[in-house]
Amino acid sequence: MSLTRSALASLLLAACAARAPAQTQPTEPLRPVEHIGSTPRYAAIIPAARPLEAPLPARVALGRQLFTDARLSQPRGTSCASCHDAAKAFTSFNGGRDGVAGGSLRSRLGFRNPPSLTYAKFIPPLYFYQDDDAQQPAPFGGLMLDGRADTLAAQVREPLLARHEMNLGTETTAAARLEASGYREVFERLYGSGVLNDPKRAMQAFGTSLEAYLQSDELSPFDSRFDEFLRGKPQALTPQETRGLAIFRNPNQGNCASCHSVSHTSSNPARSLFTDFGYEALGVPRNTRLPANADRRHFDLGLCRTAAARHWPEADTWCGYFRTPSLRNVAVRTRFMHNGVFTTLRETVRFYAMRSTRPQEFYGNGPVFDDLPAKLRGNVNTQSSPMNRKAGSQPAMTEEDIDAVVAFLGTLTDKRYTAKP
Amino acid sequence: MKLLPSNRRAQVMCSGAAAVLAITLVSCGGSNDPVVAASSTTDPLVQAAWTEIGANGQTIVRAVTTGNRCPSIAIDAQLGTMGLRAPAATVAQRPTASAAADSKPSAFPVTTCETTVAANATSVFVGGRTLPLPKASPSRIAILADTGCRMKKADNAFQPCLDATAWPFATIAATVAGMKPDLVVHIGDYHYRENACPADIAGCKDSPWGYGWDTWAADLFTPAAPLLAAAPWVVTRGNHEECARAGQGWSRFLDVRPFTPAMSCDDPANDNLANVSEPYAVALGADTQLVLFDSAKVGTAGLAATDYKFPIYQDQFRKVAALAADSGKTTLFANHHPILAFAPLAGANPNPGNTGLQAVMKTLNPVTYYPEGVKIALHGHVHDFQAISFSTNHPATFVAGNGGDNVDVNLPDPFPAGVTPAPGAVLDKITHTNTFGFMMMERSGSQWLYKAYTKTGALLTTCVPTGSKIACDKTGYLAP
Repeated sequence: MSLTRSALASLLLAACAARAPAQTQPTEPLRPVEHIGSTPRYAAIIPAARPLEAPLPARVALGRQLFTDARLSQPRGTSCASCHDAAKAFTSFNGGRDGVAGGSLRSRLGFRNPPSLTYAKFIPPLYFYQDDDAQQPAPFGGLMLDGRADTLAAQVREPLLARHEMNLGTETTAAARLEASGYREVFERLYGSGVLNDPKRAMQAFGTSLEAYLQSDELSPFDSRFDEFLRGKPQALTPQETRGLAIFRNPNQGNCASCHSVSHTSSNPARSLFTDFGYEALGVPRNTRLPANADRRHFDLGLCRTAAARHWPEADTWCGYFRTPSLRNVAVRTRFMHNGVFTTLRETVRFYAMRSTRPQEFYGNGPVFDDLPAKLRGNVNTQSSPMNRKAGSQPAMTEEDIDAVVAFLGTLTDKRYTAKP
Repeated sequence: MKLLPSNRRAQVMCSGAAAVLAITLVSCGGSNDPVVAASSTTDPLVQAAWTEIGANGQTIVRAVTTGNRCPSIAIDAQLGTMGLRAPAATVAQRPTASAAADSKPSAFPVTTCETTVAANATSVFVGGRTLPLPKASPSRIAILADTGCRMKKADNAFQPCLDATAWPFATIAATVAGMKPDLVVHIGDYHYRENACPADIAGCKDSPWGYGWDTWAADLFTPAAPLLAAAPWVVTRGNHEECARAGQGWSRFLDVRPFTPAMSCDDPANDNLANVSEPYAVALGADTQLVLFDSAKVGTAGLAATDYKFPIYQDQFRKVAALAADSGKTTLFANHHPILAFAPLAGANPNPGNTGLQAVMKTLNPVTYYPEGVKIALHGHVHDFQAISFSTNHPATFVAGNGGDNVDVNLPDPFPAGVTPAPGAVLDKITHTNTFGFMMMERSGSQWLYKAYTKTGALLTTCVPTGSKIACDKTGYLAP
């Protein structure tokens, strides 16, 4: 079946209200070359630096209100902002611990480190791309770290209903809660009469509103010191930070930019989102403090769940893969990696530099890649620099190099998080 | 070669040697021929001049000029005019590897000229340049591949071509030239600037793009100038030089065959013919030869026996076997796509060599793939360095695709047991790295040493051949 990009967008934006224009406006038809399972493969990368239509202000305003409304949980008291606090680069833990967030029911904790929502509007729907020099198609995009939601509108539905998050359970309950919280008038004004009487329409409208807010410039200001650097002010970075950028880019050292894409000579900051939206299996150590991990048989397998749901061949080969997150505002975070196992940015960068050369520092005397079942540990990337070196060999980065990269990452913090109180 | 009228030759005859030709031409006086006058200094019209070695040891001198006429050439102090290879032209836009909106007509506002030089020639002078000539017994042979700067919209990849750390081909070319090679072997993928650099990216700002001369100059002839001046080149093409990509420039500038409209890649109707060319051998002294094979269009998805290319490649491998049957010489084989080497993957065992070529070769040599005479194979395409020796009777294989374009991920270290580039080939040792660099074959007595260097000339490893085996002084991953 041939599917135009517009048609695809229509499908993917099904959560939008029927009469609503698409929030992400495709600029030209993008036809799948084929489908792998139910996932399209395109003939080109969907770049971050693509035209995105500005969301409607009224929807942004409603989305912002919904985002911080703690009545939209069961029991009341938890909002989207509880785990995605605007004051903390849209990430937080809602009273959770050890790298995962608490739900509206305090006894329930999440399974993953809540991602930052800044710059999330640039994440495209899940798709495959294969360059003609590449050996096989590779997946890109998709919301959630396992790519299972194609749009922000679809993504925001999940925490609203999930029992370990806002716990509203069903669309019917959610629609009733919106009604009870006084949203009828504004929903009907924006999405039509009777919208809250139909749970599906209500959820679509909820998703569309949240999506509009998350697509607003409020979450993607591009006003960090690095953005100043991109706009022609080299002095915005200190010598150590500049050196950190060079190490970050150097394929013989950090090689970070091979996944955390940066176009350091482009004045368009959208080219420097510090992600290619691709997937990697990094083999991060198991966070043994997570409640879910008390069960030794529990593993967060990441992309392969989505792969199976979308009927990709050999779905298990994608176990352990998670989408590469943007590093913008990474220095604001207090927990790192999908399972929140690291508590400092330096420890995280050091993991990349030393994982293969000093594995015992991260895995102790146990097996490496211990957050995956033994039979799936072969999925972990042991080929990319600097993670390809043998145990006991010289790391590709020195401690000073790590310091420089950490310093550089600090320049990716938006201004609102660096301003002195 | 087109000789000038006798009076022009006479002017040259008053000169003693080519080295002083320029001065003498002026002192001889009497000429207002702009071609000859231009020879007195570096001819500003000549954009590039170099030497290639073609089939049957043919020495081919090529020059690219913005002039309407070909430049003069002095061979052993005999002045003549180079012959026309391809006139200036702008070729109508054809289907390319990119969308039509991201393609354009290929402009060649230059005249490509050529002259075949006799094997016993001792000096060649073109456009103010003394050109290198083949040595009967070369002792230092540089090997490189995949040298261009990637600008590809579909990949959203715009390598900072102006940044020598990000695109180090000029550094590599200068390093190799400084090592004074006797020969340069380029195993394909010269050209990568297929689409326009976005205006906001300073790293490739204003770079030429598309498949015309300006892009070829930026991707190859300008950064490689010291290396083109240093030694004759032996060339084969890569997938980036197939007809829907940079094939038009390949045929005009580099292909050792005579230029014809049918092989020009200008008309897509001729692509099936133009995308293949016959193998040939280049002597590397009295005891070694290099067989060049054109795999530009083989692809990476395998090759069905019903594919039109299958019998063509099959016939060409028969010719390789005939060339390699020279028992007096050790035969090396070079083509772009690795055959008994690996394509690395992140988070998985590497992919094997090119299954299309393997399928073809297997019909002729079911066990060894290569004909018996081939001892060593050289490739590019994968953007890393690999040196592989087999415990089975398969030729040792080198990959030298780390010449400037974005590098691939590394191969795993330790290398997983049982993984093979082709059924039946059992790996003995493998040495590899993805740092930018090149290879050098260096004569040591009766044998060649195969050395891998970084882009700045730091030695990474030395491999010593014994028949079809190699022993490198390091194994596994080579940290730069």
